Amino acid sequence: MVWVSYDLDMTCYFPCDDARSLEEIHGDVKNVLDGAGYRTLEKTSAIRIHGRDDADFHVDVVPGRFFDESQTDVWLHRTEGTKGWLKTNLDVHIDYVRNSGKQDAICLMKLWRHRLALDSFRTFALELITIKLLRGWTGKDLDDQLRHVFEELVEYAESIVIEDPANANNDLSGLLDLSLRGQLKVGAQQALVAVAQGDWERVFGPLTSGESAKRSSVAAAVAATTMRTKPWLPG
Amino acid sequence: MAAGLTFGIDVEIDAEGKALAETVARYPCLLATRMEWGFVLQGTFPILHDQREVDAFTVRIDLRRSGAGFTAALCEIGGRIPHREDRHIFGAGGYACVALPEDVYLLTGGKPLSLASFLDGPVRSFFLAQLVVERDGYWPFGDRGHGAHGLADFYEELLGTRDLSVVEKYLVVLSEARTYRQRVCPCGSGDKLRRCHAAQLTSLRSRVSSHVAQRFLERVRSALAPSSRT
Repeated sequence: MVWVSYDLDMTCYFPCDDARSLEEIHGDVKNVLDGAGYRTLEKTSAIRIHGRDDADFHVDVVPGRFFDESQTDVWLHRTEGTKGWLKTNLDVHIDYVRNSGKQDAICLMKLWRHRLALDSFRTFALELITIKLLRGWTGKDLDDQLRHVFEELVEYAESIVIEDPANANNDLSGLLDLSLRGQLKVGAQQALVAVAQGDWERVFGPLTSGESAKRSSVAAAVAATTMRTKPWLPG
Repeated sequence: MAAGLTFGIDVEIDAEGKALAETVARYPCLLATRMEWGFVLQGTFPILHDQREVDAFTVRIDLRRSGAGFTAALCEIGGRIPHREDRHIFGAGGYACVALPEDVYLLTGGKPLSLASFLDGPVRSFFLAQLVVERDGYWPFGDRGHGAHGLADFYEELLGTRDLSVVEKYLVVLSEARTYRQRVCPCGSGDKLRRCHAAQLTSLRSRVSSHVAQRFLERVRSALAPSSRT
């Protein structure tokens, strides 16, 4: 089992007749969170808050304003990209992912992202890329699907374009900068090497083992360790 | 932090990046990124035993150019290990003090570790020990005192003294190409070396080369500098 931090996206949408600009709404929400004592971090459209004790969870609060009375489409402020805003619809995105039939592959891609500590690979982009790379792929087995995604990433990570299913006009290029594209390609290459040796556990971690089995494994690893260095502290 | 006591471990990486390529082949969830000042390895570090992953930590390893080689500094970035001195994590950056560099010098004869040896050795031992501390509250391989106290622990085991000013005198002798038996013994007795600790120093030379002693001496002098006393 791997240690996975918990995260949650939380929307904070205001009525369509709110007179404030999107930037002001974003700033006001951030001020409230700062004032409540949370450590905040600006993301592209969200404000990430960490637990007060830096525990293993974070929440991405997404401020926005509804497009109209129907309360479906929303305007979001963006801190990156050519435009300072985007129009989207979270429900459309959720339905798009749910109806893709690729949720298992998406879950494992999230685990892979976590194992690579690739926080810059946003969930929104990860889901859209995984679905896009598996579109038309007929392989039913999960291992085939993941192998295919990794192969496609090696081939196309540097050039792939993603579209927001809720609004094709949204510029999502800021979600995949050159650095991230390069990391996805290299990470996929490394994963394929391990997979070629049949070693999926090195990519995704081991299956869960019982507490007593884990304790025995740790004890055996300690006993077998030859370079027994002692930790220190500079002072 | 003591002014002159650095905590990084010397690591050897070839200019072609062959060592990095070989390393990531063994650790597929570590990504190497080239920086202006060196390299960063980031991702999941697995603790392997019998080719199986016992547990894993999320890490960032800064490999900074230092002289002709690189110095490695490890951070656990998954938030699993509390940033506390008693867990051997220090500073806002959350740096992990995997080992006293002297311990590593003694194991390697003063040579830098290969990147793979660094990961398989001190890094693995550090995280394995953290697992035991997490569960059972003790350090399975022991741990060193903080700052100059850790150095003193080391020299008490090696030379039988915790007094770093005496240690400095021993290291001056050991860092020379040969031992002059007519000189005054570094222990402070006032006797000539041949009548005092000559046998101990001769024995030490088989473990501590003059090159290693030079490295030790530099760090002891750093610890003895007024601003770094703890």
